[in-house]
Amino acid sequence: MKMNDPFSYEVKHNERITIEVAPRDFLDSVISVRAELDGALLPAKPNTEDALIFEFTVSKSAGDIHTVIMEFTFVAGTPADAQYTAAISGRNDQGCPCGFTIDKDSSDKSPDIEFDVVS
Amino acid sequence: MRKSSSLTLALALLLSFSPIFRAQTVNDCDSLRSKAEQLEKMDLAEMSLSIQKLCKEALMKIYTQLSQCERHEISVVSEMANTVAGTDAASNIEEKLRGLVKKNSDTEAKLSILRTALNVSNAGPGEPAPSAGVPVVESVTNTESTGTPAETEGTNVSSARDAAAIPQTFPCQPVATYSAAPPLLTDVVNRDAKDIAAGKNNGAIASVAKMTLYATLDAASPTSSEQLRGLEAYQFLSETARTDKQLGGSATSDGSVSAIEKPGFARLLGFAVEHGGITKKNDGTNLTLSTSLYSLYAMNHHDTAEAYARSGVLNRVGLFATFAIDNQNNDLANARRQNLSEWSVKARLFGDRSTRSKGFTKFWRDQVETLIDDRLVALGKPLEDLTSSDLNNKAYRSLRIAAGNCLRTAVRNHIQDTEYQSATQDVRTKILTDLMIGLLKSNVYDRVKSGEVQLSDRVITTIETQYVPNLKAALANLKAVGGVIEEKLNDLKKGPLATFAYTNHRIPTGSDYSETKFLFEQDKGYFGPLKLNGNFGLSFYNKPDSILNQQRLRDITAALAFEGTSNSPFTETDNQSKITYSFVGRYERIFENRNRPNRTPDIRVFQFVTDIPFMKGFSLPLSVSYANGTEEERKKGFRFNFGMHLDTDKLFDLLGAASRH
Repeated sequence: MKMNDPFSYEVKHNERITIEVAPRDFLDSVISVRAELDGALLPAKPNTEDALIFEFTVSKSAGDIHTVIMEFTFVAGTPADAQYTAAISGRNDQGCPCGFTIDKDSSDKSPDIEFDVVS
Repeated sequence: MRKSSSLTLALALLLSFSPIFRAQTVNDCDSLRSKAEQLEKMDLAEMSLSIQKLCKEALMKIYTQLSQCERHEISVVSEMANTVAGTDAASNIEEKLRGLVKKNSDTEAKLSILRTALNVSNAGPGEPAPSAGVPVVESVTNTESTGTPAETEGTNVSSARDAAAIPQTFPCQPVATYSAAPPLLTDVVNRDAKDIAAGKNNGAIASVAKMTLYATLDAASPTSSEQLRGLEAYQFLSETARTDKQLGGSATSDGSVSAIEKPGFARLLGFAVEHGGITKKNDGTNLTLSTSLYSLYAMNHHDTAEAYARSGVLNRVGLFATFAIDNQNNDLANARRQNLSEWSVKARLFGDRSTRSKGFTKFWRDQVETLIDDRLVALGKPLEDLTSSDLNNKAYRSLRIAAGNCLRTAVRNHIQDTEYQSATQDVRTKILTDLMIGLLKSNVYDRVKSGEVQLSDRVITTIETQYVPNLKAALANLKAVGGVIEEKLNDLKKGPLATFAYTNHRIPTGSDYSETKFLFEQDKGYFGPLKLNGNFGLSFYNKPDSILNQQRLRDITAALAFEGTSNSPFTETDNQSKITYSFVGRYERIFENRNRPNRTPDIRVFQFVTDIPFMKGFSLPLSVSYANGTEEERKKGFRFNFGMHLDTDKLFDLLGAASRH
């Protein structure tokens, strides 16, 4: 996987992509991260509520795109310093550590992550 | 003079193409970068067009070499980073790696501009083909120049091989005016522009796919445009008002406006962690330092959901220390033993009003997250159908890749401009918003609208009958559930909550004593709209002084308060803070006052307390009390306390909401 920018990556066919989301400083506030992949729900792996893990395998051919759209929620009363850190990894990663952070004061809490299949 | 300049420039360009030049620089990125900078600095304004073109071609070749050289360095350093991962050497190498990636990103951006200027594809004549995976910014092509995209074959549109095979191109078009763009589009563009202007996301656009989709839906047909423009911007299910904060010393501290203590202290934990474990509150009379066992635990383990779940009883215990203020210039200078007026420990006995409680978590998972999912799928499905190889819609896929890269490159270049860097954050946001909206118009909307990228009748029908209606339904459901969430949050505050508190009072001119209290709160119970607060406590002298008529048991206290709320006419539309008011009755039996002149053992206090929120997070807390005496003297009378309070959390939320509007 090669990072173009935190929300855009180049990946290879059959590569396994992992998005691991670590919530920080939520204290007694609920944590909620949802994701979809190519128009279908992408559930987090079971028993990963504390550090949510979303995984998929690049199944498309070169030239196509996998799109993941996520939504990170900060419910009322969440501390001001709360944040979600999403770490994205694949195989033979270039330009990494890869990923992004969504803070409570981020304006866009529903980013798209595009994975261009290049080979 | 002009002839001489031309000769010098031509000589420089010839040198840049010569094998000697290449031999000297092929493996030296810094040298290549330096040569490129020299060429860029040359004044070509008065040169002939052919010389200008020659210079640009030279620059493109050098940047192509430089990009290859940088990618090689990235590959080497990346391997080094993998090797030293987990050692002390890792951070330096990772920093170097990030720097190299940034440089390569800049180089690619310049290459994109040059390719646009020279109107060449990624792999121009005599130019080495980029490695597989290098995104095409402005030369993505399609084999179907006029045919239906659905009939084309799915191949790698981002490779130079395909670029050469497909005649139709999508060069990056300049900014156009997108008058009255759909609210959903302007909202997401503005949000991303604001984040980038605030220095977030390393200058990257977070929602390129959604922006492209909205511009496409707007252009697909008059019906889809009307449908899309009828949708309101999406508001995230985030911060709303809370009025249950209480920070400060116990009700008996001087300067306290309340004669009763509340059992809730959950927010204190947040403040504590924000400030590195301990927080301070100065009300002008008292300095209160507070922390919790959990926040101290989290300093070492970080506050993750896992750490919170494992912390057990630690998240139920809070610690407080209150100091009398005699140094107004330096808060923390008052935090010394001589000024310590009290310290206390509070432990939550039963009741959980947090949004991490089982009840709220179940509600959120079952009723809210499914609706969030619906919105995500309502966005992802059309993107997938329009783009995927299943429908063989290669033209749209090409457009999407080209438009996305065009946006990313333009923003990346813009944030390097001097004009942008010297602007205020608001101006930066506007610059980027205008840039992105304009590029979406020229590179997506216009191309779909004009038929340059054709959407089949079947696709347009699906957009009108499924994609936009599904999105509309998902957004409407989320808007509706916002009200339900508000109700649930209010319900959280209604359940019974009990806390045990221990307070150690330090009396500089008297006897120290300890106070134990049971605090109870029940909202919307037997008393209709009023919330019941109850305190019962006993206090004990640590060392009773018989000369002062003291015995071990110092006093017994009981207090009852009824609290209500009403809407505030003084706040902004987005500010849902309410006026809170309470009626408090408090009784205290002080045993040492028995049989002492000018003192009363039975002290009764009646109090009215209110907190009136105003604009911008400011509020006015005030109280009027009637008492038949104090601990020191039998003196009937009224007492009036007031102050001004600024809630910075609320202020930032309001500013955020205002800027979104």
